[in-house]
Amino acid sequence: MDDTVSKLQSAYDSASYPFWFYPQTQLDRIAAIAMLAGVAPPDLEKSRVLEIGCGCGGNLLPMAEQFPQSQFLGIDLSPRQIEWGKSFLGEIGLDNIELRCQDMLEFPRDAGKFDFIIAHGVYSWVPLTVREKLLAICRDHLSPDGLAFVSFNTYPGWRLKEPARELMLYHNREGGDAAHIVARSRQIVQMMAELTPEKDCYREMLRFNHEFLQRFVDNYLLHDHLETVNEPCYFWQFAKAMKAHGLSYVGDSNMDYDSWIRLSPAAREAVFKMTSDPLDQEQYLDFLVGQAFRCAVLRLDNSKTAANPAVDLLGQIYVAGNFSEEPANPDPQGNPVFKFKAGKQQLLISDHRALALLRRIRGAWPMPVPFSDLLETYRAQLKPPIDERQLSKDLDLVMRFYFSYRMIEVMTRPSSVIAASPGEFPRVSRYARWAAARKLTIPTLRLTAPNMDDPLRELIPWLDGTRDRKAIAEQIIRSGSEAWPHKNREELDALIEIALGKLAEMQFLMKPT
Amino acid sequence: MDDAVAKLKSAYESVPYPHNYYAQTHLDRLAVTAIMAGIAPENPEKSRVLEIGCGSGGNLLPMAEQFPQSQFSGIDLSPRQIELGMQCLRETGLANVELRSRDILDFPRNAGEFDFIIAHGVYSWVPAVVRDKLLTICREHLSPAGLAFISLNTYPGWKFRELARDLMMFHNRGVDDPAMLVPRGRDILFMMAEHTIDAGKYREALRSNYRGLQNVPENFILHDHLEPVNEPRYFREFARDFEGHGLSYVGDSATDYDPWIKISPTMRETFQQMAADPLDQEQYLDFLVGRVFRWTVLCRSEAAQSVRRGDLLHEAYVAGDFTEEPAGADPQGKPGFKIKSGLQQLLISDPRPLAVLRRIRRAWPMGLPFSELVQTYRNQLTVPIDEHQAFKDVELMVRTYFGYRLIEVMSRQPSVIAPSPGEYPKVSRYARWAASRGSSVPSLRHISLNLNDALLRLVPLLDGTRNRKAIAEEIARSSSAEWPHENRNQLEAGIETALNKLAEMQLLMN
Repeated sequence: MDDTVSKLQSAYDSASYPFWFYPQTQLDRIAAIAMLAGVAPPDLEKSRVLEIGCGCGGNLLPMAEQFPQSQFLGIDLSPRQIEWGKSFLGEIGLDNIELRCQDMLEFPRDAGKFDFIIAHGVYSWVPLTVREKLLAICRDHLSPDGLAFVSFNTYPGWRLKEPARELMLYHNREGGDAAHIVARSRQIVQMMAELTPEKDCYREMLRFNHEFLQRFVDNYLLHDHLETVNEPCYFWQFAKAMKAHGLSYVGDSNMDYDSWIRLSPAAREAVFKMTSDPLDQEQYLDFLVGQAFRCAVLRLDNSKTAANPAVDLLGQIYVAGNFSEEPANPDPQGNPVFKFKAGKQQLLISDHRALALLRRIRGAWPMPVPFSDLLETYRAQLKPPIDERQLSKDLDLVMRFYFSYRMIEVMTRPSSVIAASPGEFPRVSRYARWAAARKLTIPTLRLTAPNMDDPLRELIPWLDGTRDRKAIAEQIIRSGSEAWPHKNREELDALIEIALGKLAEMQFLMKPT
Repeated sequence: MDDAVAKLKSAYESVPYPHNYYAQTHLDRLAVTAIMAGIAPENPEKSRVLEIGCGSGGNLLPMAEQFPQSQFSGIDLSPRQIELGMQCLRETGLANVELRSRDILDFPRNAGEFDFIIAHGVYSWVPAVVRDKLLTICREHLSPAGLAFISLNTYPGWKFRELARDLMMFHNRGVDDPAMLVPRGRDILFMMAEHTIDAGKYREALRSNYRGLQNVPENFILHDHLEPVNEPRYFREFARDFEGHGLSYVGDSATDYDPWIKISPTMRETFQQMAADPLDQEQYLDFLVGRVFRWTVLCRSEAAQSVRRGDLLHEAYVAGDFTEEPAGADPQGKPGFKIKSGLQQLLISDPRPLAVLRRIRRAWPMGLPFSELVQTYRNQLTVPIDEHQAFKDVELMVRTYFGYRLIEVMSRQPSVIAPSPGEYPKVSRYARWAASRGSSVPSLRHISLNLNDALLRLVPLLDGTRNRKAIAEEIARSSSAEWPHENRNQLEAGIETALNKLAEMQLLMN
């Protein structure tokens, strides 16, 4: 183990990475990105999954529970994190997952093939030899239709973050303990941002970094910004390394909107005119948006199935959406307009066909709607004669458009775990119950982390599928919880019903086994 | 010669660097930077000077003419640039300059000692091995009190420019024709600045890059931004390098204002508390102002360790070419004046510094001895103070105004600058040579001047053999469109005005 690697190891041993999970690495998400690119994904239900740099398993454990017939392996350089992860495994009682403390440079050749390989927050934070090894592992250990997820820091966006990182590193050149370093780092960036005599983009950059760093917990700051190695690269550089390792690009699995959709038609056209190479087009896109991070999905170059967006894979998808709808001002022709909002994104829609589709999707939430059902909805909005081929193509385009804005989610199958409603014996995952009991962030079944209030957090540990509403209410009364004030039993029952409904909406509740 | 060096060579062979004069590298400017730091410099008038990466000699030749008793040597990787320089040497008839096409890596050990070594625009544009060699040459070939000038691109400021460089380099991948690189580079930068969906700092960065490159000559962009090697560094990393080579920091010879002067005293104190090492303080300063470039003056470490002499400045000369206008009264009711030079301006109402500044302005284009300023200052005082205190007060004033670049400091009265046109006005041979080619001309303080067509027509005639009548006849004969011909009186008046203007620009020689 060389010097840099041992420094990394000790960094993660002393300040473990925040216990976290990433919806962009979720298996069905990765599979959906492949489908949108015309690539048939592997079977999720019976897959082998490898996570490189798994920390204490915060990302892998919740997934392992959802796919009980799949096998999960996580490796990490830090013995302490792996030790924790193993003890969590025992507490939660998952048996389809193995956590191993291993330097990826020593990843065994006979480890076999994996259908999914996930490496989130690794590539940019390791020395060159390890980066190369990471791609070599993908090449050597992906199954023929396997998919890899590799995220990394990118230029040009990081050019505007590096001055802050380097200021913090410089200011802490004499070292110190982690808490001290974090405090000093925040302080120096703030001081420079407030006192710089510059008035232009340099000051803007300092201020941006100051605000950005305020939003994150200490350990994130330590690892994402102050790690010994932090080497962002341009997408084209990554693409070159990826190709040299026999891998090809499938798409980006980020949770924000797809940047392409935000470009003006003129900008898009200009990019397409400059180059026909899709990878070069991605690079120009990054320059246009100032990209700072990418979540690349990769596959083997010589995969059996050629990537072909024209292949009718999209007909097999399922669509879900949790947006809100409200009336907006009518359009110039006087047609009613509605504002659809999901997260930070919003769209104004007046077309009756689009409205019917979105309402159909929203009505089914938290369950997804099969593409064929949406075709029905769509067809019902049209006057005959109807060209069936065109119908399917149009719907394909419409769904891609809404997905680009992240108004909808695309799934490759109906979820085998998500429950449409609380049912008689409501149940959340063992992992969620375990996390709630430890006051950790609780993942939904899609690995998102919605804001949770105290009553919900306190309710979750009781939802193990053995208790009906009556038993749950009795638990709450017995616990004397302050989060559940109520005048009488009737009111408590009503509150519980509301809370269960909320949990179902948030995709926490699982189907009965 | 390795691959990177070969690429560099061919880049300069195909498109030579523009002739330019850098006042920051002027020998007296370097000497003054040392004086400000309390280090006694060599006398520029009798010195040996080496310029590394001298291009076609545009920076070296005018200095050689000003310091005829000094010896100048310039080396450059590009034979074509050296050839152009030799041609200029022949045409200007300068005898104290030697130009040679040479790889820095092959610099001969027996080249002897130099009192000034200048390397402008080299350090950041060469591979690590050449950077190292550059510092080795400074260490091994500086005379004991010698000064080295090394400029470099610095972080954090260059992070912003790298955005643009990386974009242009990516867009130009596979483009072989050097003539296409800059136009394509500008196009793509413009397109990105126009179409970016970012509405914050990233768009600002693109736009400021685009603005920054809009009115700059193509060959400047080609070499400064699109060269295969362009490795900016943090000042502290550079400092570790030069300290490792037995060199020490003297100061920065930038002609822009000194950023320290714009920093509040509390900020300065904070830096001093954060770091005892002045080089670390410089690094914090760079982080604060987003520095993109440094004009660094270095000396041998032994010279830096000797006792610093605060009184060196007392023997210097001060000049200033600022304007003054009334600016309303200060809170105490004293009339205030706006003193302006270039982009810098200060409001002053205290009659003591005003008297000193007015005295300086009256003497322009000549400098005044520091002691004379002390005299002016003392004359303003109602309560007399001792001489020592008066020197201290004026020193503080001079340091402040020099920090703002409202005034210039010179190690000695330049013997070449003429205060007025005289009977037989004369400009340098180099300036005549440059003007006859329509290029920018260097002032005698090495400032690059872009003259209008009338002056460009006049300057080549000013060889010290013609009086006003002869000059007027030459111009009349040439029937050049820039000068009035119908009326001889009008022409002569025009010439008189122009000559005075040239004197003000510090172009006229004794």
